Amino acid sequence: MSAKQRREAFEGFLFLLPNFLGFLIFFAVPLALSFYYSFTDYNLFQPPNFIGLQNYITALGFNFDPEAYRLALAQGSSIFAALGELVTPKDPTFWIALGNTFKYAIGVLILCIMPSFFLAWLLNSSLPGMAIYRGLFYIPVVASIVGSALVWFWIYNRDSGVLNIALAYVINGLSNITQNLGFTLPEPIIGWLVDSNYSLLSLIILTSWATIGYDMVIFLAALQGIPRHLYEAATVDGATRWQSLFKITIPMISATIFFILVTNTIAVLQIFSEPYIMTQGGPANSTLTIVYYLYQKGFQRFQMGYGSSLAWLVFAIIFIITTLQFRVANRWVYEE
Amino acid sequence: MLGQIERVTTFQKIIYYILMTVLALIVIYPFIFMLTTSLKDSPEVFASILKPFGEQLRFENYLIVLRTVNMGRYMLNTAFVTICVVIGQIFTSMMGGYAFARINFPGRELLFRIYLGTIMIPFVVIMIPIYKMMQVFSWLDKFQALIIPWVFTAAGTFLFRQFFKSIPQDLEEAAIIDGASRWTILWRIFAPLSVPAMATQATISFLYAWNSFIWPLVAIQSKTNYVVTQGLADIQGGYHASPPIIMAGATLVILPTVLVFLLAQRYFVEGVATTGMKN
Amino acid sequence: MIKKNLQFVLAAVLIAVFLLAACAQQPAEQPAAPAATEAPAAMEEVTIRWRTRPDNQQEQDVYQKISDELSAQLASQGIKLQYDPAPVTGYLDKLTTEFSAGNAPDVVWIPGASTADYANLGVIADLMPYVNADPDFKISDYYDAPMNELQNNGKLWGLPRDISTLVMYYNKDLFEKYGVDDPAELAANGQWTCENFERVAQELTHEDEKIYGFSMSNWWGPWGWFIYSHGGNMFNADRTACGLADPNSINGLQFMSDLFNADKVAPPPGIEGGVGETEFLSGSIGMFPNGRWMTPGMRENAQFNWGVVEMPNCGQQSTWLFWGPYVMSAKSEHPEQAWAVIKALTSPEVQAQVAALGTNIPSNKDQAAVDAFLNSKPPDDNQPFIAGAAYAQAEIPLYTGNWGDIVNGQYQPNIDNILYGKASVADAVKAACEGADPLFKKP
Repeated sequence: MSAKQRREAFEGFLFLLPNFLGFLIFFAVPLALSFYYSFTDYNLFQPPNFIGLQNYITALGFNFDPEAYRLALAQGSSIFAALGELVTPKDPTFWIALGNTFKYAIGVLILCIMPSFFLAWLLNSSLPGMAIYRGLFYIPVVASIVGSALVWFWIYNRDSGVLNIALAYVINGLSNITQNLGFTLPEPIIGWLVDSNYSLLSLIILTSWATIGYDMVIFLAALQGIPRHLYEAATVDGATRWQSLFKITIPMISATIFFILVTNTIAVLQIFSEPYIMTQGGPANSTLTIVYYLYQKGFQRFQMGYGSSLAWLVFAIIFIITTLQFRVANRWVYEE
Repeated sequence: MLGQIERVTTFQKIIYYILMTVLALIVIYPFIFMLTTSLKDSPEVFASILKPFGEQLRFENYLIVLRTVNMGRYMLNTAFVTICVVIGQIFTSMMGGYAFARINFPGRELLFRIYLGTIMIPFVVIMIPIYKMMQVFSWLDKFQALIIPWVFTAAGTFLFRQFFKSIPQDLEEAAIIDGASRWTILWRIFAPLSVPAMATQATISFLYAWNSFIWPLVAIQSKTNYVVTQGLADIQGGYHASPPIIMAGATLVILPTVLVFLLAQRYFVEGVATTGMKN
Repeated sequence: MIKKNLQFVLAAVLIAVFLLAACAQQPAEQPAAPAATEAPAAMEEVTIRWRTRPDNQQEQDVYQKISDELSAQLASQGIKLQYDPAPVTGYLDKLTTEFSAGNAPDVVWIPGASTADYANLGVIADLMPYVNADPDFKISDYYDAPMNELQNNGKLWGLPRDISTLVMYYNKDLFEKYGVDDPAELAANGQWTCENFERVAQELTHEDEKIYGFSMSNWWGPWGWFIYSHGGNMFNADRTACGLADPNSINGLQFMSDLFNADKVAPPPGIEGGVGETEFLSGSIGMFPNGRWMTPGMRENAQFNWGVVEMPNCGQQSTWLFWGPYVMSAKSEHPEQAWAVIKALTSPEVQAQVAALGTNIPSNKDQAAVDAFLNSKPPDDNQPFIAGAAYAQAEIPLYTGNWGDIVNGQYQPNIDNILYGKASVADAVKAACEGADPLFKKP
C-alpha cells in the first residue's frame, strides 16, 4: 500500500472507531458467547459443559419408534395415525412455535403490506390535508408497544371489550335485514385473545395496525416518485385504471415492495413483545412465537444452552428466507 | 391515486374525504379509547364502555399515576437516557457513515455487510451475555447500562452512509484542495447538509430509546431508576383491576413520542421514505 | 497533513469518550446506603437487601412500612433493611437474571412451586446450618405442610412468608337476586357437595344477562383443585411421573370440563393470569375460587356484598395451601444477618401486621397472629381460610423436574384445550402425560 492509502485506511479506522468499538464489545463478543453456549448445556448458574450438537438435534430431530407404530396399529388406528406414532419430533413445541411464527408472517403480509399499499395509493393525491392523514396513520408506529398492547388488551376483552360490542351492534343490525330474508346470523362472541382459534389473529391485527403507517409512508414516497408522463402516455394509449396499476405503478415501485417485504419479514420472524405482554404464548401455545419460546426455555426454564441454539436457528431461517427473497427478486423487481 | 386523475368532481372529493376520515378514525380509535377510559372510574368502564365520558373527568387518575406510581420520576429518567442515546447515536453514526461512504480502507465493504447482517439477529440472543458484561463492568442498575451498549447502531450508520453517498464528490474535493482535514469536512461541510438525516436519526433514536422495554426490565432493578415502560408494567401489575389507571399510564408513556413525532414529522417521514426508496 | 487529521480525529474520539462518560454519570440519587461499612469498632452496619412480591399497591405499602420498622428494630444488631420492590409482571424473570449475575437480593420471596428449581441450581442457600446454630428457633413453630415441602434431603431451603388456602369467593348479592341457596348455609349443614355446587352454578347462570355462576383464573391452582378434590393427583406418589392419567384425575378434569362446556355455567377462562378476577369484581360472576391475596383488592374495588366459603366436597375434601418462602441468596455477603432478617420477617409480630391488612394467613402458628387474621374483615367469616389448612394439599416444589417445563409447558396447553372445548379429557390427558413423562428425573 502506498503511504497515501495507508493514511486513508488509518483515518477510516479512526472515524469508525467509536462505532466499531461498540459493535465489537457489545455485539460481536456477546454473539460469539451465545454461539458457544448453543453447544453447551448452560443453565445460567453453573459453568457450561460442552455437549456438541445435542441442542440442535433436539430442536430439529425426530424419534423413530417402531414399537409405538405396531401398538397403534394393533389398537385399531388408521395407517395415517399410526405413522404419526412412528416418527415423532423430539421437541414438538419447537415446531408449533415455528408454525405460529410463519402464520404470523403471512398474516402480517396480508393484513399489513397490502392495506398499507392501498392507503398509500389513496393518499397519493394533491388534495389538501394529506399530511394530516399521513400523520394520523403513523401514530401507532411511534407508540410504545407496551402501551398499545395494554390498550388492545382491553379492546379485545371478550365480554366488555369494545370490539365485541361493536361487532354485536353490527351483527344485530344486519340480523334485522337477514331475518327478513329468512335466515338468522349466528350470534358472535369471539374470544379473541382467549380463543386459540383467534388468538394469533388478534396479535396479527395488533402488529399490522402498528406497522401499517410505516409501510404506507414508504410506499407513498415511492408512488410520488413515479414520473407523471408515464401515466399520461398510458392514458393517451387508452389504458384503464387497472391496467395502469398493474403495468406501471407496481413495476415502478417493485424495488420498494421488495424492500418492505424483506424488512417486514425479518421483523415479524422475531416477534416477541406482543405475545410476552398479552398472551404469554397461550392459550394452548397458539400464540407461541419462536423467539418467545426461546425466551421461555432459556430464561424462565434455565435452559440457556438450548435457548441459544434456538436463537441461532432463527437467525439461520431469517438468513435463508432473505436470501431466497433476493434470488427471486431478479425476476420481478424492476431497477432503473 | 387522485394525483393521477386530472379532473376531480366535488362529489368524488367528498366521498374521498369521508373515506379517509373514517379510516383514520378507525386507526386511531384505540388511542381515543385510551384517553377517554383514563378519565373514567373503574366501575363506569365495565358498565358503559362505549360511552366516551363518565360522570366526571377524573384527572386524579393521572395524579395517582404520576405521584403514587412515581411515573413522573420514570419519565425524567427515560428523558435523560433518551437524550444521551440520541446524541451518542447521531455522533457515532455520522462518523461511521462518513467512513463507509467516503474513506477507502481495506475490508470496508465486507465490514459494512456484516453491520447490515446484525439487524437480522434478535436481541434475545445476546441479552444474557450482555447482562453478564454489565455485571462485570458494574453498570447494572445504572444508566450506563441503558446508554453505552446502544450508542452503536448499524441502521443509523447505514442511514448516514446512504445520505453521504448522495453528496456530490466535488464538494469534498474542493475542500481537500483547500487543505481541509477529513474531520473538518465532516463537521463543517457534511453536517450542515445533513440536517434532515440528523432529524430523522434523532427521531428514530428517540423512539427506540423511549420505547425500550425488554432490556430495561432486565437491567434495572431499583425503582428509582426505572424507565417509563417498566413503570407501565408496574401499573399493570399493581392495578390490574383498574383499567382507568392503566390507560392513564399508557397515555403518559405514549404522549411524548406522539408529540415528538408530530413536531419532527416533516423530516422524519421524508427521511424514512428516502432511505426506503434508495434501497 | 497527517498530523492535522490525526489530531482532529483523536480529539473527536476523546470528546466522544468524555461525552459518554459524562452521559453515564447519572444525576439520579442511588437509593439507600452502599453495602457493608467496615468499622474498626465492634459493630459493622450491614444492609440487607430484600424483596417480596405484593399482589397490589396496598400490599406494597404495607411491606415498605414493615421494612422501615424492622430496620429500626434490628439496628441494635447492626442490620439495616433495604426494601427492593420489583414489578409483579416478570418478577421471576428479573430474579433469574439477578441470580445468574450473582446480584440477587439477600433475601427474596419466591413462589413455593419454584423452590426446587432454584435449590437444584444451587442459587439459594441451605438454612439448616443456621437453624441448628440457633437455640431459639423451632421448625415446629410453623405449619407442617409448607415446612415439609421446604425440606429435602436434610436441607431447609427457606421459611414460609405466609400461607393462603384456596377458598370460594361468592357474590352474595347475586345469590340473593336469583334466590339461590347460600353456600355458607349449605356448608354449615354439610351439604356443600359438588352436586350442589353444580346446581347452584346453573341456577345462577343467566347468559342473556351475561351472568355466570362460576369462573376461574387459568392456572394450576384452580384446575389443579378439580383434580385433587376427586382424589386424583398431578403427579404420581414419588413425583417421578405424570399423574393426570389416573382415573380420579380424569374424573376431576371431566367435572371441570362439563362446567365450562356442557353446563356452560362459566365463561371461557382467560389466559394464565388474573383476567378472571376482573370479571368477578365487575359483579357478573357468582363464584370464584382464589387465595387470600384477592381480599385487599376485593375490599377496595368490589361494589357488592361478598363472602367466602370452603371449597365444595367432591368426594375428597381438598383445597390448596399456597405458600411461598423467603429464601437466601447463595451469594449473599452477609448470611448471618440475612438469616436474622428472614426470621424477623416470619415472626408472629410481622405476620400479624401483614395479616391485619388481610393479605394472607400467617405461617406461624402463634395464636396472636391467627387472631389478627381472623379479625381482619371483610369477609365477615374468615374461618374458611383457616379451616382449609387442616386438609389442604400444599403447593409442591418439584425436586424431580423443572416445574416450568412440566406444568406450564406440557400440562397447561392441554388443560387449555379442555377448557376451551378443543379436546376431550382423555385425549388431552394422554398428550400431557406423553409430553411430560420424559421430563421427570427418574431415581
